[in-house]
Amino acid sequence: MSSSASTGRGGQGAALSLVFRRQAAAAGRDPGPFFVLPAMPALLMTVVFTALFDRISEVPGYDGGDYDAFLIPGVVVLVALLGAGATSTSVAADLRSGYFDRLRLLPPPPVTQLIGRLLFEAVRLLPGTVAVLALGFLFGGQNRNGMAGLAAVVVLVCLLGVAYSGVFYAVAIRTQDPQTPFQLQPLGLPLAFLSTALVPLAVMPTWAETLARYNPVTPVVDASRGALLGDLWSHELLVALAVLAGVIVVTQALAWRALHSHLAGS
Amino acid sequence: MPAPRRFVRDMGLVFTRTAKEAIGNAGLAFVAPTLLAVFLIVLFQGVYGKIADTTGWPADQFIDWVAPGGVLLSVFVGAGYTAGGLLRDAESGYLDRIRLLPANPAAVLAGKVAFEAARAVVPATGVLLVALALGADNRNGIPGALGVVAIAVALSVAWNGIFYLSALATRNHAAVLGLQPLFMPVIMFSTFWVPARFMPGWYEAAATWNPFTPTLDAARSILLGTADWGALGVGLSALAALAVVTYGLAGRHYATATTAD
Amino acid sequence: MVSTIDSVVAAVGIADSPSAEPSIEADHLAKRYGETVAVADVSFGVAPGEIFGYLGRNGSGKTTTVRMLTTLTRPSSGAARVAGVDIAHARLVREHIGVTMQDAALDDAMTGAEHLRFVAGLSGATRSAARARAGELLELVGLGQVAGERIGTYSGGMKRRLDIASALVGQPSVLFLDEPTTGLDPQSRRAVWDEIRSLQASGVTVFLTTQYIEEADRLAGRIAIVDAGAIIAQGTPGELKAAHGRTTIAFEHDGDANAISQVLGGTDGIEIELNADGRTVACLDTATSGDDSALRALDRIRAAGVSPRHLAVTETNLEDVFVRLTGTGINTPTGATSSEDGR
Repeated sequence: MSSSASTGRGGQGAALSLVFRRQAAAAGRDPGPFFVLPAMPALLMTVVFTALFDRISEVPGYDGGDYDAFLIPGVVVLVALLGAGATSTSVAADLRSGYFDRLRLLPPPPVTQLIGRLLFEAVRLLPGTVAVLALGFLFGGQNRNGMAGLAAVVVLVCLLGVAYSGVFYAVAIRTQDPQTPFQLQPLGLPLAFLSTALVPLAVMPTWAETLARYNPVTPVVDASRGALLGDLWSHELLVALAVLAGVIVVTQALAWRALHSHLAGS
Repeated sequence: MPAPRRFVRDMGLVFTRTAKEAIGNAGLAFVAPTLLAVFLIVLFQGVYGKIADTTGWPADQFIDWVAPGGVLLSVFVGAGYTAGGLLRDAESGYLDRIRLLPANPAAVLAGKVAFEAARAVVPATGVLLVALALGADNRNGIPGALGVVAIAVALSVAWNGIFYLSALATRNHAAVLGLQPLFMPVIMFSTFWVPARFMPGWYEAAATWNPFTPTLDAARSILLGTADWGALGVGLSALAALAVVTYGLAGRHYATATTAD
Repeated sequence: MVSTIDSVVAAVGIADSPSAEPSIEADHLAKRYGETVAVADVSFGVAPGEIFGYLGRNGSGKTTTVRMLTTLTRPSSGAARVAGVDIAHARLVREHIGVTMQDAALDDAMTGAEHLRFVAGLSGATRSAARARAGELLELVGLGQVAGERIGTYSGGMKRRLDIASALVGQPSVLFLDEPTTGLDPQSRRAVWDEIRSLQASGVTVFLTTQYIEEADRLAGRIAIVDAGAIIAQGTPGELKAAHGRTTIAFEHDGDANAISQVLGGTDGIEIELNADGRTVACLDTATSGDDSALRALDRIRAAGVSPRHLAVTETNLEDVFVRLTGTGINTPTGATSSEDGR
């Protein structure tokens, strides 16, 4: 009994690792959209916004401290939002080509296909996150918590990437359109801008402030900012992790449901 | 029929066909560039709008400063539409079909570019109206508004030259699409969002030498007060130079493509 | 140069009507793309009002040949005249020709009428003339009923007929149809065939490429069989069958299986095979042993006192000719051997 259960788990792990490795190999062949693209907007914003909008800190009521130091931990989180969901392309392509049906005939449950890719989705954001942090420190970023602070930021970005990809998966499964990441790209902009990633709530007009307050990206950004500029183990980090866990459950439920109804319908 | 009249007539036929196709595809041709430009302006207004409350801001509000840029932004975010169409025609063999007709191939290209110019009017006007509704200044009434839209048309012709060149030189849709984000550094390193005196020195230098800046400054001067004819002259010259270079090279590739290969 | 064209023309039998200048003359046309040879070296002539079938499988260089003759592609070497004009003068040639492309390139968003008016306008017609011509052509190809519908809603066959109509806008004397029925269902194919026949009846010369043997056999007055960029045979269907076909006689007999091979074996143009089911099959090469070879073979068997119990004579067809000349069936990609061959 116990031995068969453990081989079951081993088989599951092996299947996940196969899906992960297939996705990683595909990304290696086409590094642009997987590794380079997610970092590009954040890198551009780092250079441009620190220069152009520095004086936002002179606005009456601004409470964010030095603006460059404020911006960097926010902008790095955007790596997960602008350029997200690249792996949903292969989900759509596999469903459309019938390759998914072939995979379904194998013992691992279909969601293995999603989880394996999601794991890769988290890992692929690492190079971009590191690049943005490195450039950010050149452009006035600060870090009071050493490696632990950096590690916390990286974990937050990767988890947000996983949470946000669920939306892409749900859409990709329904439309079977490999262009999904391209189509949904504009969605990342309001999520990024209408959060505390770029400026504190205090300097936003009321409509923007209200939206930013309820934007799930805001607690993640606040935790990232806390990890670099405040106390590492703040309650903001706990809130962020709780929010991320919640969002992951919701978006994955959407994706799994889409997959389930697709498979049931086919 | 005399050759010049024939040229204009053929151009008109291609213009009409391209226009009909675009109207059938209005979402991509007209609505998307309008909405995307409005969307970006509104987002930046929501995030950085209050920078206008700091001392030294040259206008009353943030929207006064960015509205003219927003109008031109609609040209940038919608660029490459007819160049992509030309590429599709080349791939599908439709261009071959037209090549076999006695029409001048240059009239075919000119008809498409003419439509690209006309298309710019719709998003540019749309963004301008939204900006005015958001409270942007327009001190020169309807003539001023028409002037800014005309600048957008000129920018559209010149900027799309890059897309025609890329389409005809590479014959690759991905290469044409890949040029889309090229406008980002162009607007970011200009006076699009904030005046030059708000920038650090190196950035101000980049913005001053950016060939797009005079065009932008000219459009802004028309909306905010007296037209800056100097900036307008420099801006339009820069656009003319871009157009000459890109269409000159694109024309060569096109000539090769429309004679036997 | 001139003499070469003359000799080509003589070779294909146009010299019979010396008054008419050929509509198409190709003289050692070749097209190479770097190392790849698309068209090796083709020469042929097409008489006015003739349907010339250019038969070959995919990748044999048919489309490249059409593109050279219609001035869309410049030959690497060789020359050609279409409607009496050297193809180097693209503009002049284009005044005389109409072309349909293999993948009918049409704008799905336009209606059939809009498309034809557009093409007519670019061909120089005034607005009202373009409208009239479009209406006329739509009736001609039987699309009058759907003139106002979007091309996107047309069936494959309707698109091909619209494509032919747009090739006719300039009232061409020479029409190039590049695989006009590929991918069509049998009914649509017949409709396109009728269209081509009535065009020929109106005096148009038709250069028809096809990968369907039946299509070439039924429509074309003369056929060129192309393989790997070269013409390997040309003539009327009858000539091709006479020159490259063979008649087979299968004998069933009770007596000595070797008797027939003893009588007929060793003769020029006759091959004897012994079938697995005990029949003896004599394959008679029509080119070397003549039209009456089957009768003469039977006479000799009678004379030798051999009396088969039953015999079946099979006349040659164009498919056999094609298979013999190219070594494979038309729909077999080069290089792949069929399973029968493999056994």
